[in-house]
Amino acid sequence: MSAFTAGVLVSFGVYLAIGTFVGRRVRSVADYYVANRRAPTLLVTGSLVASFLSTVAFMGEVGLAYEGYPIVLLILAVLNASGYVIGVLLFGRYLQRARTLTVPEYFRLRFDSRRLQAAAGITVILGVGVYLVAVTQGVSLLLSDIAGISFGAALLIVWVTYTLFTFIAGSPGVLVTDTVMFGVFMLAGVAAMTWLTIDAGGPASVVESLTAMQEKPDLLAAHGLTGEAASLGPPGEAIAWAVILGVVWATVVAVSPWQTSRYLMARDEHTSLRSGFLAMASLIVLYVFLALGGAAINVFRGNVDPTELAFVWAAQNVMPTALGVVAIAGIMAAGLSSSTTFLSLIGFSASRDIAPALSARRRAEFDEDDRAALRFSRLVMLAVGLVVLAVTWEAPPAVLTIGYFAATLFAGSWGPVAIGSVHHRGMTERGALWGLVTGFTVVFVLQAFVEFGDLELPIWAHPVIIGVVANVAAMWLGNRGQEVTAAQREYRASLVRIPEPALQPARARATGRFAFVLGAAAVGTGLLLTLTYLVPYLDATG
Amino acid sequence: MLEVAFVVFYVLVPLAIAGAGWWVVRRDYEGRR
Repeated sequence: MSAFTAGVLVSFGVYLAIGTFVGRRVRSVADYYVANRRAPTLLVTGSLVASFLSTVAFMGEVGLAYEGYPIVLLILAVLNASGYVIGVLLFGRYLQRARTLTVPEYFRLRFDSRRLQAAAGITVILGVGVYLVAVTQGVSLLLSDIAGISFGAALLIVWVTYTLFTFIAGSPGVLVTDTVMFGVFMLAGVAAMTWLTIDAGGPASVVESLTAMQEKPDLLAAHGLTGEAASLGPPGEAIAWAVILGVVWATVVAVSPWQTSRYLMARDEHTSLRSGFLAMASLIVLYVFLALGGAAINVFRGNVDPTELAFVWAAQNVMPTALGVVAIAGIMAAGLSSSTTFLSLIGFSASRDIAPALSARRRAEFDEDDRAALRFSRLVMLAVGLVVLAVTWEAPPAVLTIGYFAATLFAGSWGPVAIGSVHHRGMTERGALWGLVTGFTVVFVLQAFVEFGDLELPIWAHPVIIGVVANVAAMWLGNRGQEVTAAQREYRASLVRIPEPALQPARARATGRFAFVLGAAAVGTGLLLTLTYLVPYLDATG
Repeated sequence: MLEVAFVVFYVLVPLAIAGAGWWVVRRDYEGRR
């Protein structure tokens, strides 16, 4: 067994042990779903970032930087990361006040509507389910590659690991292991990419070699690759793509269930706000390393194919073994941490958002007996896990494509509805339902034709833009002729009122300091970019 | 030149967000409303 395989299997064992240990303390549905709403800032931040970053980032996006678009990736990343602070201010903190067990349940309370909860639950199962399949594929492909075992065997190992501890430990386990994994992949990203750059002769030498690379012209330019191989099109289009997808991912970070559900676990509102600042700071720092390091791999070898394997190749062939093991374990951790969150969300939605909508008897039973509800949630989780296993076994691999597909789906369906539910006083139940369903359907169909068919759309008519427009139009049509009920008005009023315990000047000042941490991270990464990229680049290009 | 603009952008976006976030937090939670 190679050091890489051993390292990965040991890390799997550690996560399982932690998950099982934490899981022994799960007693109630509130424990299982939202960790009893007692998570501190560190765990919420860890879980936010770990659920967000997956093989899509460490394989797909590092591959994009390696292919010839490091700066385009960074333009996308900084917009994307903004979604944390904007999201917690516009939606996350209100969701947290609702103190529900799932995000679709918030929609039910807000609009007094079980069908809206069920519809949102179905979008969670379909959208997050697709994303889970993509991430599971990425992790399994990687494991089969480094361990030299079949895809099927790797898939089974990966699936058993994340399903077992999600099943046993629920959200408390996911929070703790997510945070451990967050530490592992932050270390992997920063240390591995720093080492690569230094080993290649330092930033100045790397920049000089990369700007001279004949096969990848303009690799380090702001717009990235030009010429025949430019997969993102001409310069203007590449930058437009980064801006549009950056805003899409920011919306995902702001409203998607696998991100905002973390706020439901936070101890209080200030914890949510602080986590939003820290998560954004973590992303803007990490992405500088991933993008510039991913590009630097070209100095060692310029033709890793597929490009998704660039980081993995460097870990196995360029880095010293110990660092390579950390890097591979980090990539695995990023994938696994998203998988656990995704699986738990799907399980929670099936048992909490959809099953009760289908059966009044079940609803009554769960209201009365917490343990029965917990048992049912666990069984549904296992059943959902088996379905995911079967689909992943059959589905063709397309890690980056499917990941981006799922992201656009939530931006188009949940984006306007979630923000409107808080900030639009006149929003009605029918408006919300029509908007959600229309946005989801339009993006799903258009995006499927673009990714898996022959449909070609100009960048300004990206499926997600059409989806958002359709969503808002459907919401407007749905609102017409409908009245906001007294119950809805009252509920919204209770939502926008800041809870008394959060109104403390000392705590507000402390939360404000987290904004300074973000500011400091911005200045620090700016200096880093200037010294390791900008100055050498301007020198090299004259 | 585009590269200089990019670095400025990468610093200014999070700085602006941090500033706006700080302002909203102080406005909403100082309890003076």
